[in-house]
Amino acid sequence: MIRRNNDYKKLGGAMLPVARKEGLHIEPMAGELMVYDIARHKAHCLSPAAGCVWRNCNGQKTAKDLSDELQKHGIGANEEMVWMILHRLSKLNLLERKVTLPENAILSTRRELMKRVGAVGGMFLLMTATIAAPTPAQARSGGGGSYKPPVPPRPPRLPRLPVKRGG
Amino acid sequence: LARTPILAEALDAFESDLQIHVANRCKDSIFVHAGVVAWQGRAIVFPGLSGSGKTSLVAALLERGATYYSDEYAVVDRYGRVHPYARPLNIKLAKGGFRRKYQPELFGKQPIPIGLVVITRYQENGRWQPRTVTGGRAVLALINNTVSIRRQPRAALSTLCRAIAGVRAVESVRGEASQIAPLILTEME
Repeated sequence: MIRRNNDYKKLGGAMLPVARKEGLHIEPMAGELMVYDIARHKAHCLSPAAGCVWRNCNGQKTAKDLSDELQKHGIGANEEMVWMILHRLSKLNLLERKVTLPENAILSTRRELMKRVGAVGGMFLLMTATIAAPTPAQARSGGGGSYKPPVPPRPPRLPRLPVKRGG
Repeated sequence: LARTPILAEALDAFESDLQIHVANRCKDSIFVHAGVVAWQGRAIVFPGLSGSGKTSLVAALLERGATYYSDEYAVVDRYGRVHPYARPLNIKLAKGGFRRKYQPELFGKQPIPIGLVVITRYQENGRWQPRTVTGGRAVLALINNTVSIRRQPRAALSTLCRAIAGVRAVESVRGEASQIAPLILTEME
């Protein structure tokens, strides 16, 4: 497949993600980044890669720039992986605006992505984990319990490209 | 709080509510629903909600020579040290109800640093296969059991991150407490 447009800057602000800073409490934790969303009462644990991408979302950097930042930190993630991370951060409401993925942001199949992720050091580099903070009553009775082992981010669903039929 | 003709039940409900109130309002320390014992001067903390088997695990570790800190709360101060929360062990009886076991000579007395976080829950025939998890995952597991997290998220997150920095954390389901107690102690060595 061919990438039709790699110049995301021309595509508008939605392609230059900005990290949300208001209403969050942030604590670094041995490479990971703990983020508490005070309004939504959610706690997030960002992996080293997700944390690096999020910290560098300043509205000036494209996915390519962000993947270069990851390379500088010794994480060999490509643009596709950056888009996966951005998609996840957007879903967690950690970006100022929702990220609009370009059509050709993720071209690999899930299997191909897994292979590449394995090659750069494993899924744990890309993962984020989130819990809803319990109320005092939940913390007593067992109603909280939203902690589950983290799951790897899924590639976002993209609209299907039209298939040319022979004729 | 409770509507019951039995005084003991009413008092239990009152005690439970009072504990939650103190845990939620305390400004100096963070109360995490967890079992805690001390081993070789460091705390083993296993966060868990009611019914996760904290008390039986604490009792099994005490039989192996650990020092009792709590079967209810890990009380973590601003320096990240765990204080004893010396309440009698509430051992659930098979026929229902609780038996309270007072063993004041087993209670810890000094605040100590955390040495190991064990994220576990009882599962029938569960096999103990601990895998190391990152500090961030351990902090999330503690947050999930922190009483005042919504009331004072900044203080709670800072305190827990400080307490967990450099600490090993493992995660696994478990079977009978008596069988895994020695295995947990070996994780500290």
